[in-house]
Amino acid sequence: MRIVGIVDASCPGHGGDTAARLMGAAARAGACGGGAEASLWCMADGGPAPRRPWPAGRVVIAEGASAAAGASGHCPEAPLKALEALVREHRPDLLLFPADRAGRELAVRLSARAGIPCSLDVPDLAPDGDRLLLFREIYNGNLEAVFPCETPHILTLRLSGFEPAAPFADPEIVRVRAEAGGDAPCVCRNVLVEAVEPEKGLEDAGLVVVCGAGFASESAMEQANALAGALGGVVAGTRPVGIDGRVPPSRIVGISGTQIQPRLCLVLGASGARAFAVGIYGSACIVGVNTDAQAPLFKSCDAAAVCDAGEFARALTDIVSSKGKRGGADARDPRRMSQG
Amino acid sequence: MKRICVCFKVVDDFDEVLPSDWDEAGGDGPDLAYVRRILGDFDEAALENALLVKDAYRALGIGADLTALTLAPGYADHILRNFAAVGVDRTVCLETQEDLRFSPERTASALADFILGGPPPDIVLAGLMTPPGGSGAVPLFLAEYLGLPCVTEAISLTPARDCVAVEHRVDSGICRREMLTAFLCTIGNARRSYLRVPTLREALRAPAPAIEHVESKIAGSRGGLKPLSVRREDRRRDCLFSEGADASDHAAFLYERVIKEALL
Amino acid sequence: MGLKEKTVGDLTEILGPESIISDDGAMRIADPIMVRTYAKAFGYVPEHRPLCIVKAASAEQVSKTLRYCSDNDIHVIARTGASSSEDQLLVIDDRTIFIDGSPMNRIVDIDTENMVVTAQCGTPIAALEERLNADGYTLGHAPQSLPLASMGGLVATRSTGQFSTYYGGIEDLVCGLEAVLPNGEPIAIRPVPRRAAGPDLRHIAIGSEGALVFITEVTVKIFKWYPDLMWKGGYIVENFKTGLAAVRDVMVKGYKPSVVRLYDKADVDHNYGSVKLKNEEAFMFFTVEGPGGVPEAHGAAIHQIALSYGAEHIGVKAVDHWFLTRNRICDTIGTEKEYVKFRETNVYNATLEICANWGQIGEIYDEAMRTLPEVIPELVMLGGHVSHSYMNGTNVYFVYALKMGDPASAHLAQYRFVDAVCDVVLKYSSATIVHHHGVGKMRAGRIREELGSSFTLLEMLKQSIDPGNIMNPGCLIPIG
Repeated sequence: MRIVGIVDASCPGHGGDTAARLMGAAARAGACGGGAEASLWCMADGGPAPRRPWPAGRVVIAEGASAAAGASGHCPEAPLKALEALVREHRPDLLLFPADRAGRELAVRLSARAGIPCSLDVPDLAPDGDRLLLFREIYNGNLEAVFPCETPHILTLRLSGFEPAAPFADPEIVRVRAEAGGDAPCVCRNVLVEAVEPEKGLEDAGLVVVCGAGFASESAMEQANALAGALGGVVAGTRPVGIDGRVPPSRIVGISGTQIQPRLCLVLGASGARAFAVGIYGSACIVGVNTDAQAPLFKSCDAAAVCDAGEFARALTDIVSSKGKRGGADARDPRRMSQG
Repeated sequence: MKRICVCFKVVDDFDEVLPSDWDEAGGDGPDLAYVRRILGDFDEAALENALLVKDAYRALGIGADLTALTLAPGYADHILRNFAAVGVDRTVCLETQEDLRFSPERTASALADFILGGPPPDIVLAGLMTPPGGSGAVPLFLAEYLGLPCVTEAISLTPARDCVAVEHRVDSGICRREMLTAFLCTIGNARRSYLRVPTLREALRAPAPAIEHVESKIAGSRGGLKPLSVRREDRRRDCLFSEGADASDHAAFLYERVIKEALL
Repeated sequence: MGLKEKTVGDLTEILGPESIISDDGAMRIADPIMVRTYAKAFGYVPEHRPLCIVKAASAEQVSKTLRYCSDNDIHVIARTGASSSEDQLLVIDDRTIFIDGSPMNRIVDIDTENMVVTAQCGTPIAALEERLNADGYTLGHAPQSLPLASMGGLVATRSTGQFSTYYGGIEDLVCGLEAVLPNGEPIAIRPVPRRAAGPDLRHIAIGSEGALVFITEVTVKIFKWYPDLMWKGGYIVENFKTGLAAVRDVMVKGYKPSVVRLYDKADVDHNYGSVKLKNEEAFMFFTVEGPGGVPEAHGAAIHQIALSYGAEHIGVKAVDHWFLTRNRICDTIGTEKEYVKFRETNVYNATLEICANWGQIGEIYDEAMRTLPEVIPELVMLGGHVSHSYMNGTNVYFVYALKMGDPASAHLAQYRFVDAVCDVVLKYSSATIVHHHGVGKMRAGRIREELGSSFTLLEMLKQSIDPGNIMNPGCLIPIG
């Protein structure tokens, strides 16, 4: 089976770890049937070729093919055209994209152009004899479904469930020059990108304080920030809280946001509806606070308190501050991992 | 005359499915017979933003026609009947008996087939994603089938005489661009997310809400994926409830028993 | 020294600093919920704020506070769960304090031999019910505000619950109570099974809405709870009138389902959407509770009655959905999510409950549905349902939504709607303008018409019990 992982060098989320996990997924997929030949395709801009430890034995760098390469600033046409050409040439059986904004758009549009079916937001896959099975959350995360995966197929993967592949000592690097991409000047103009969310997202946060709709007033957010500060963590919100502008979209937790994997997740004032709960399942420890003793949230918690979230937050902030403790090392801090 | 088309979906409110129905759900999903039908969150925002675009064109003295298009909405009269009163000129329901839950390309194909059968739209809007598949693929497939440039996760659209200024989210921040040609736009967490509501008088004064039902021709392509199995994963954890007379007690209890260790 | 400074200082000296809240932030949010939260969403600053909030932890503290207020002409609004809906908690002048009884949240005694429970006024009803359920008992009182409400407020507003047709309203459940008079004097009405020692004094407190006494403790009946034996049946009927006739038949024949509800299509679509109705159809359902044999037998009989009216039996799933979602409104009241929707749509949802005898309720419903859209231009939707039925009549719970204008005066649109409903209802001799939410300040202007010649009794009670009119002036009895 020919399996390809695809990253766009211009996407902030497509760093080394993303590529490594894509190739880890490729290895898992390749365990079905008669083995696999895995490559990494990297859509790059026209500058010096990215240098990194590559997690694949074969790397194709498509120069001038990143979404940022076009004249219009941000344009998926550039990587799409390059991918179409590469697919025509190499005819992969599986194309793996990260399940993020860029990955979704590229995967679907490539699927339409290349006539290859696609499945999105796949958190897991498993070989089953000669075939591959895909696992997907459906109905807002309330059910998990298993789908058969016929090849060729395009997947976007939720990479947190895949182990990163080890770097290759001496990969084969192939450079190809992409066709001039980008939207024609007649399509759009005056494209400006304003970086408004410089802080990193939630994927690597070791400690997260999540505010639900019941704890999302201005003063509540102040308390949440104070608590997160004392704990050394970050503040996130459920989707209603994000829609209301209390947290930026990069800090929304749930099926339409990020699925987090912190060591500690404190959930304040959220009912725990499944579409949100899916976002916190990966947490090592979940503590929930809600005034409703029947809140579904508590089924997902390791520990809980039935009380006012604001009063709880204030009290916990005082306790933590008085102890002088700050935690919140990255969820994947290697020092911590080595301590077992 | 500017032509705006907004694609939307009427969905079941999955927060109202009985827990026992989730436990018993099979490949056809849970029993939804008595679950409320609502607009998908992002689709509601798409409808409102389509109306805002129409309002903006009118303010510029440019005529605008808005068509709201949906596929197999089921029981939705209570949602659709007010569309004319808020400014939707035409509401079209494509009907099909096919199971399209996990077939975004066929859904998009049906929508595209209808759109291509009429005067070409200047702007096509759709919500970012809707359940049960929730993949967000339909608008992207639709853009490809219509041959339109695609702008994703728009926050706002502002028509001008010769372009439409779109603000949308990209990985590195907010992108602003002026679209010069027809385009498709997905609406994400937009500034306006709730659909306006007419008063009863406005609804009475509005043209009769003629909702068109059109039999959809869905291309027999690869067909949608069908799940091999469906299950409800039990993600329950054994929850330790704190003891205490007040929030301070609870905080102290949980700090000592659980939180302190997580901070080490 | 200003009045606030003096009052706060004096009460601090009497009760201790830990019992007084007086910072501006807390005073700003002390406003009642419901229509005032619409204005809050737009940054509304209340015209009047309380001087302070007294967190009363005992009847003695209530007594001391009331004595002080009585001596110093300070007005008092009693509060526990803060879930009342008719502006009972609206501050209308600048010399008012809240006495908040929520710290008095102790379940004093559960007496299963004599089937009563005694609880302090600040006991959340949800906590009390959960405690009783664990032992196989129930209060039988389940208002939609169950997640928010406390015992004192429920008694003070003469509330009723979703199972009232079987268990009765709060007035049927209260056996005894303790309260404090405006002059600080504590009183107690001992709980007895029945008493004929003059007029029933419990009813001076029950429904007094904080305008006569401060209720500090209540003793209410409890019942054996048989949740697994509950019978349920859901039906679609041809129209609302037919449903009314069927419900009447059930009641008049002597059956007492715990839940009897009849919804018109507008209400179902707007609030539940769980049953797909054609144009004039209505959704009707019943539940029956009781010991072994009773639910099945009564349920079977009710089923036959429903079928005799041409009802289509749709099983129990729709009823189960109602159970799942019946109190969901409490999840969003006063939250930022609600505020954002207010700001974007300018639509406010509310309800209004009235009651009349069988012979007039159908006409009242028809007239209201016909005339209200004509006189209230802000109406976005209007529907109704029956939820509490009696041998001699039933209620109608109007559900409605208004498109509001200027947030600061948005409440006026609601007041006009309320007045318009009162205009309809008061034409009917058997009808009341208020079934169970209480009069508050919202309907106080119509109380004279409501009570007619008996209003003088209410005035006399007020004048003798609260001669200084310090207890929630403007609530229940209008000023002037």
